[in-house]
Amino acid sequence: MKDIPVGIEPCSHMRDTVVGMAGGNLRGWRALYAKLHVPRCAKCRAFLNAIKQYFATVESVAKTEEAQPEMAWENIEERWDAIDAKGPPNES
Amino acid sequence: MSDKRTVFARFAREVAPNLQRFAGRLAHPDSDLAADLVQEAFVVAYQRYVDGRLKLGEGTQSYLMTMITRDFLQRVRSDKRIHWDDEVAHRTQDGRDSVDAMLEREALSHHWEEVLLQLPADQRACVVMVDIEEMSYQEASEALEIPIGTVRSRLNRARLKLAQLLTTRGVIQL
Repeated sequence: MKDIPVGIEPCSHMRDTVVGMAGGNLRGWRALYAKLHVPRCAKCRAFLNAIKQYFATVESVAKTEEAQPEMAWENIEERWDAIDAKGPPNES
Repeated sequence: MSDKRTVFARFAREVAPNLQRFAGRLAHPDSDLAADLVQEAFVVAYQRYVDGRLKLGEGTQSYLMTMITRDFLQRVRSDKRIHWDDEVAHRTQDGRDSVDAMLEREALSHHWEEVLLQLPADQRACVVMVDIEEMSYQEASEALEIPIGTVRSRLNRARLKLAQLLTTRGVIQL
């Protein structure tokens, strides 16, 4: 992929751990290891910073209410009519 | 009109905005496809409801989202007319002139839609289901018919990619 800045890729074994750390759901030895590793590692620190901002972005986007186009209810109603016309399956 | 039909129609109108938003995010920028996905889901669900194979309740909206996701992925995989390539990405970028005039939140949404478009469809589905719609890993795993571990790894790959793309656009600042 083009135009990807250097420095945002975490250490290969840390990707899931740092994402977990950013989401606040790391427990046990992984949490401890992350606390020891991340502050000393520029790559993982940058990734943690980026992924926290990613979650903030997602939260903001999820809250955005976009105007939805009108549903074509008449088409749906027509197809429901066809289903009603067939009736329920025969019990045999 | 039967009571069953009335109940289902009321339910459909209630959940339609959520499903439209969900399908819209999956299928962006193809709003016709999004509308079609929702319509198909309502038709198939109604048939199942009439047949007694579907009950309306708390989990029905997730069930419909699952149907929409599966239908979407199936169409992307099988229909050559649906491309998620540079051509589509450029088409959405044509409208970028107006970005400056948008409010900050709208601009963010715009960036988000464009970067989301650059993910493969299966990763995009994971992001929309888990990160945006806050479905559980278990629900996403069932919807996509893949193990939870695969959902997790697809999602984390996608998050890394999205974080990288949002950084290049200055939305994320290192």
